Parts: sequence; C-alpha cells; structure tokens
Amino acid sequence: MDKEELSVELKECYKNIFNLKNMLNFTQCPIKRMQIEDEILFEINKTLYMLEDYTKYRQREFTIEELSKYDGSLGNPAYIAVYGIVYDVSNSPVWGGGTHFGATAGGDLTSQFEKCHKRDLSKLKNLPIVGTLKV
Amino acid sequence: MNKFENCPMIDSKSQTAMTLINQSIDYIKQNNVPKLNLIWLEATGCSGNIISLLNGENPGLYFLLKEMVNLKYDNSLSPYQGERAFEEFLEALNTEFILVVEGAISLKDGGLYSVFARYKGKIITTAKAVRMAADKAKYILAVGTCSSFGGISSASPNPSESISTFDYLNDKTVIRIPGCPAHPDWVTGTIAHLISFGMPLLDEKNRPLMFYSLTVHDGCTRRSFFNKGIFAQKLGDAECMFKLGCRGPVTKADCPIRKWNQYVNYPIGDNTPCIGCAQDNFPDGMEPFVRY
Repeated sequence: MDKEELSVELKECYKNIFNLKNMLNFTQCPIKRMQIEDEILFEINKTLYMLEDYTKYRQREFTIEELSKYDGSLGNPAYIAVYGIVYDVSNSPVWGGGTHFGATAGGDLTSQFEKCHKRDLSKLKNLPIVGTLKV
Repeated sequence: MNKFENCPMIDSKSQTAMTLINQSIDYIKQNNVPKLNLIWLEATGCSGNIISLLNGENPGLYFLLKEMVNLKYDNSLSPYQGERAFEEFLEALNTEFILVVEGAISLKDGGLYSVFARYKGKIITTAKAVRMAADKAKYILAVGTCSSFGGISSASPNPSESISTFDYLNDKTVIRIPGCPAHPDWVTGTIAHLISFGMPLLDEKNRPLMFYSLTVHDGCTRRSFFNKGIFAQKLGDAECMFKLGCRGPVTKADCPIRKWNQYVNYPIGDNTPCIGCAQDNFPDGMEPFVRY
C-alpha cells in the first residue's frame, strides 16, 4: 500500500465514520445505536491498524498470483491476506499444512475471516506481517 | 525394565477409568445402591463406538456389565429382535437409567432415513425413540463425534439432513464424548463418575475435563520437533507432521498419553497425522487430512 492508496483508504474510513455518525443522530433505538457505535469503533480500529502497518511493516507488495504460490504445500511458506495485509501463518499451530478449518493459505481470506471471526482483529495480532496485497 | 515403569503420570493416566470404576463399585457395594440401568441407542452412524467399547481394557466390557451397570438395551448387543426388542426398550424406560446415544439424528422426511423399530404396524424413527428415552433419562451421554458435533453423518452435502444429538436434545444437559470412535476409557470412565460422584466437571463444550482438557499437541511425543521447527517432509518421517496437515494443535483429547488398542499406540506414533476426529468441524473443517 503506497501513500496515495493509504490516503484514499483513510478518506474512505472517514466517510464511513461520518455516515455512521449521521445515522446515530437519526435513531433513538438503543440497540440500533449500540450497533452503530460498534461499527464506528471497528472503523477506527481499522484505521489504526492500517496506520500501524503502513509505518511499521511496509515490506513487500504481493499480487494475488504471487500470493497463490505461498500455500503451505511442499514446504512452501503459508501466507494469507486479510484486509489487504499479508500475514505469515507457516508456524501458527492452528494452520497445520497451510489449512485452517476448511480455509487454504495462499489467497485473500477477508470474507472468510469476517464470516468466522466476526471482525475480531485480535486473532491477527500475533501473526508476523510480511507485506501488503496489491489490488 | 519397562521404559514406562518410572513415569507415574503415564501409569495414572492409563488407570483413570479403572480407578473410577473401582470407586464406583465400592460405592455400590457399601451403600447397597442398585446398579444403574444403561440404554445404548444407535442412531445415524456406523456403530463404531459400541465396537470400540467392546475393545475396552481396564476395565473390559465384561467387567463393566457385570459389576457396574445393567445394559437394558443396545441395538447391536440385544438378545431379542423385532417387536420383542422394542418392548424391552419400552420396559427399560420405566426405570432409572443412563442414556447413551451414538450417531447423529437424521431429520429428513420425518426421520425415515434412520428407523429404530416397527411396532404394531407403525414405524418408530430413531429421532422419536431418542426423544422418548431422553425425556426419562437421568443422564444423557452423546458418544462419538456424530452424536456430539454432527461428524461424518452431517458432513457436507448431508443428504439425510442429520444434526448432532446434542443439538437435537437442546433442552437437556447432554455430556459430549467425541471421538471417532470414542475411546472405551472415556465412556466407561464418565459412566463410573456419574454413578459414584454425579456430574463430572465439564468444559465449555460439555466435554468431561478429565479426558478432554489438553490438546493432542500438548502431550504429543513429537512436540519437541515442533518447538525446534523440525518438520517431516513426507509420511514416514520421524519428525513433527505439522506441515503435512496435523490437526493435533486444534484437537482436545488425551490420545498421546492414554493411547489406543489396549494402550499400544496412537496415530502420530504410527506416522499418521492427527485428523482431528474428536473436534467439532470434523470432517469438513479438518480436510485435507494429509497435504504435501
């Protein structure tokens, strides 16, 4: 992710938060408000992660084709991409043989991550970051 | 000298079920408690768990049946057949009993894919029989992965629309004893605990903590290879099989310490990666079993 892309992403996040804030003004339902607050927190968290990754771990850019080589088979490392960041799961105990509960390494697993871990970013915290995904 | 002789941990582990059984027998004799009845129902599955139980040692099946429980009904071991067997089952329902269910519950077409009995011209589905027994049971055990989590019976594409016994009896407290099949010690040990001390300590998935507290990875004989990062390249190598798709780190069971077939060996000791048979998501979430 380079500088322009980061600024586009951040603007996108700002727009999302702004929209959510407007939604907050238009509802009185406490459950709906809680949901919106959660969404806002998630967006803020995402920006924090993006900034942290940008400053700390700007290492390598992967295309999807490059990433697909790192699927954990035949002694290859196992890499996965979540929210545009590429993580190394080769030595993560829950990723035996580059597979994890039906998911296979070497691709963009953002949708699976959202489905199973409900956007719980703490699951990714201890994984080493090796680069970013080129869209 | 036997190389295991000096390790008290291994000795105690292989004797857990026997210790519990002896305690419950003492309890029965001292307090003059009548032996509890046991009803073992086979639902949609392969009957593997009852076969596994027949292979039990410390204690063996004979010991279990003679000293601990009255096996009132079992699909495979029942001496009766046809309507007589079903009447035996109905009679047993009027006593105090432990219910053991193995296999998932098939729900498609009203459960017709798993028929329990034909009684007076009517078809009794397994789902109905399990519900009848569960309403009167003192304790309910879901033995085997199909019964505990759905397992192979409810694997994709699930043509019989099976669900686990645990989900089917969601209004009852059901103890899960997963495993494909469940180790005989896990079953007899839990039954012994129920007789002498009541409900055992359970984890968040209702598995008895005494058998399912550690992962296979925690007690693995090849754990030091994993810690050093030395991995097997192919099946048959002596190192850690994590890179070949071993599911030990996500599977809770005491296989490495207890071992199978009368405490002889377990999959990793025989150069096969753990396939996670005692965990939920098996088999769909555990595939591929071996990856090169």
